[in-house]
Amino acid sequence: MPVYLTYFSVLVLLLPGLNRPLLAQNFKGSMHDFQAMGNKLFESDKPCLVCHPPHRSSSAEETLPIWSSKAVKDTFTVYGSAGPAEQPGLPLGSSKLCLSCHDGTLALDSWGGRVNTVPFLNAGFEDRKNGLKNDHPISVKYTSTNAMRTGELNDPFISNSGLGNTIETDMLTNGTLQCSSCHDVHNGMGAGKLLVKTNKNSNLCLTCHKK
Amino acid sequence: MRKLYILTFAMTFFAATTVLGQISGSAHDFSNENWNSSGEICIVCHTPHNADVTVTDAPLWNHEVTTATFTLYSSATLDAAVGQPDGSSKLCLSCHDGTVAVDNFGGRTNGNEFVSGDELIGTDLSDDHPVSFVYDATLASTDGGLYDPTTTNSGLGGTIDDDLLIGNKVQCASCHDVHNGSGVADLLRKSNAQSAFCLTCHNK
Ligand code: HEC
Ligand code: HEC
Ligand code: HEC
Ligand code: HEC
Ligand code: HEC
Ligand code: HEC
Ligand code: HEC
Ligand code: HEC
Repeated sequence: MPVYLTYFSVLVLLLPGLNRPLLAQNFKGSMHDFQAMGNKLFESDKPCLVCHPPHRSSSAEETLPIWSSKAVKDTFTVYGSAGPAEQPGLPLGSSKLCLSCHDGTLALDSWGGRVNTVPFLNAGFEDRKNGLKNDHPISVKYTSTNAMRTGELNDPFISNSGLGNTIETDMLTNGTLQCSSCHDVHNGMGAGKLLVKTNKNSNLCLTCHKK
Repeated sequence: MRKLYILTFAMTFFAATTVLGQISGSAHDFSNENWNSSGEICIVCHTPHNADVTVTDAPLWNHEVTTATFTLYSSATLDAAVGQPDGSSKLCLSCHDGTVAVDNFGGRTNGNEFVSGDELIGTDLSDDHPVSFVYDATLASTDGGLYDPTTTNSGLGGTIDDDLLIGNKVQCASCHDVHNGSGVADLLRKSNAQSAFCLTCHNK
């Protein structure tokens, strides 16, 4: 526990972001607490280091926390139904960081400058290996105009996210939807599946979708 | 002050008319079924990840898709080229043809809840309004008894083509809103009192 607390106090000062609670008791034991998962391949007794090295960053990702994972590839097949009014772009910002592990093609233990080859994600988690065609669109603009035009989405600047403020403030990054719109990488809410809120009665989906 | 009241009233009214219906509590809300332990609504049909992409343009589909071959509607007077159900009609029929269990979602294939009674459309569509065919200005003029979809108002804000056709085609979703958006009985997109809905397209 002291280890967590030390890192919390240092990092909270350093990093910008979606301002979510970072509760040690929720992070601990979550799937991103690699140490608790007993994943020796990370060779780290510092639970935050895999994703946040204190002195070094392997990439110049825009406006993001310092990052240690091997940079992610740039090409993905994106969600492509004729449906969305706004076509999704390539993953940006923090979504690229997620995909540096979750695209299923990069070894998880490639961090802190190392380029390793094992392990990959477990079965059941490697769906994104085949691209993002079958995933909820990300890096998609979600603006008032977009919401008005489709008539099927709540206005992100007005609607409450249920997390304290509007959808725009609590869930979007530069007005775009990203992995972190639905997920909290630190499990701050303890809502299961690292979600930002529970999806009981599809409440997460209904935060944005008028259905 | 008075103006403020009027404004508030107008806004409340506006809000009330824009949100007419919702999926929660409708025939498609399966969140309380004992076969759906997630307690979620959308999950029976959609998933945020690992969706089924076998049907073109299916929106993040999570339900087993039908493989049935359908008997199509035909008649001496039909001008449209009606094909096997495609697009979203195929998604509806993945429950409503009765060959795939309603609880076959999220990879499950051994469910045993099937649609029955009136809700069962079956694989014989010869007694149902045709779906999965192009309805355009050409068809309207060939037929003579149809409005031009690109210029005729649907009564829902835009033209028939904008509001009722999907990629120029008539589908189940032309008449029904699977999410109960309009709150009209039978999940219809607009009320069919005095056959007003039929008369949106048919010039009778
Ligand atoms: C699995 C990778 C991962 C681990 C492990 C991780 N973080 Fe993060 N962290 C991120 C990402 C990604 C962001 C960017 C947040 C976003 O935009 O969603 C972030 C952002 C932050 C921020 C900025 C505020 C915020 O929430 O946006 C702080 C502070 C932070 N992390 C602290 C920590 C601490 C302390 C630990 C260890 C207890 C930790 N992180 C472990 C990936 C991780
Ligand atoms: C943070 C807001 C937000 C949340 C939460 C959210 N969505 Fe979305 N969703 C969007 C946006 C924005 C789009 C792109 C829509 C557009 O531009 O037309 C979208 C697109 C979609 C599409 C594709 C639409 C198409 O036309 O092909 C589906 C299906 C969907 N969402 C389902 C869901 C489900 C199911 C959930 C819950 C697990 C969910 N969404 C949660 C904002 C959200
Ligand atoms: C350093 C690698 C790494 C990064 C970066 C990372 N993850 Fe993970 N994540 C994992 C691993 C490992 C698992 C466990 C899956 C497994 O066992 O294969 C996991 C599991 C998850 C799960 C499943 C949680 C559950 O309880 O079922 C979610 C959701 C998730 N990650 C989302 C994200 C998001 C969103 C981001 C970016 C904000 C992210 N991850 C960044 C490695 C990572
Ligand atoms: C619209 C909301 C939404 C977005 C955006 C989203 N997720 Fe998820 N994700 C969910 C939900 C809801 C679940 C839980 C699904 C379930 O329980 O069936 C989930 C589950 C997961 C899981 C565990 C199950 C699996 O399929 O592996 C991982 C890992 C994951 N998400 C990673 C990501 C990553 C990486 C991104 C960005 C590329 C992302 N998610 C974007 C809503 C979202
Ligand atoms: C019984 C199945 C079913 C359920 C349950 C369901 N949907 Fe759908 N959904 C569909 C079908 C079929 C389509 C494609 C036909 C259409 O667009 O009318 C669709 C289309 C969509 C689209 C893209 C087009 C549009 O209307 O914007 C979104 C977004 C969407 N659904 C979100 C949701 C959300 C969010 C929920 C849960 C609150 C949900 N759906 C529940 C069957 C379902
Ligand atoms: C996941 C399976 C599933 C899918 C997919 C599905 N339905 Fe249904 N639908 C049902 C079931 C089950 C019922 C009957 C519910 C009940 O017993 O009240 C139903 C009922 C209905 C009803 C009757 C509504 C009422 O209020 O009586 C209509 C109309 C309907 N569906 C149309 C559609 C259309 C159109 C689509 C595609 C756009 C569709 N359904 C997709 C399962 C489904
Ligand atoms: C041209 C418009 C139209 C099309 C296309 C259409 N329906 Fe309907 N549907 C209706 C109307 C109108 C009703 C109400 C009938 C009544 O009240 O007797 C209805 C009723 C239903 C019902 C409720 C049970 C019943 O018979 O009353 C179901 C289920 C249904 N439709 C499913 C479908 C499916 C699945 C498709 C696509 C294969 C489809 N519909 C295509 C107009 C349409
Ligand atoms: C979205 C537009 C639309 C709506 C609404 C609609 N129809 Fe149709 N209907 C068509 C089109 C287009 C055809 C194909 C006509 C053709 O090719 O001859 C058709 C075909 C038919 C046919 C078969 C004609 C033939 O020659 O065999 C009948 C009967 C029919 N409709 C009745 C109805 C009824 C009853 C309703 C209301 C419940 C209805 N339609 C609602 C567009 C519509």
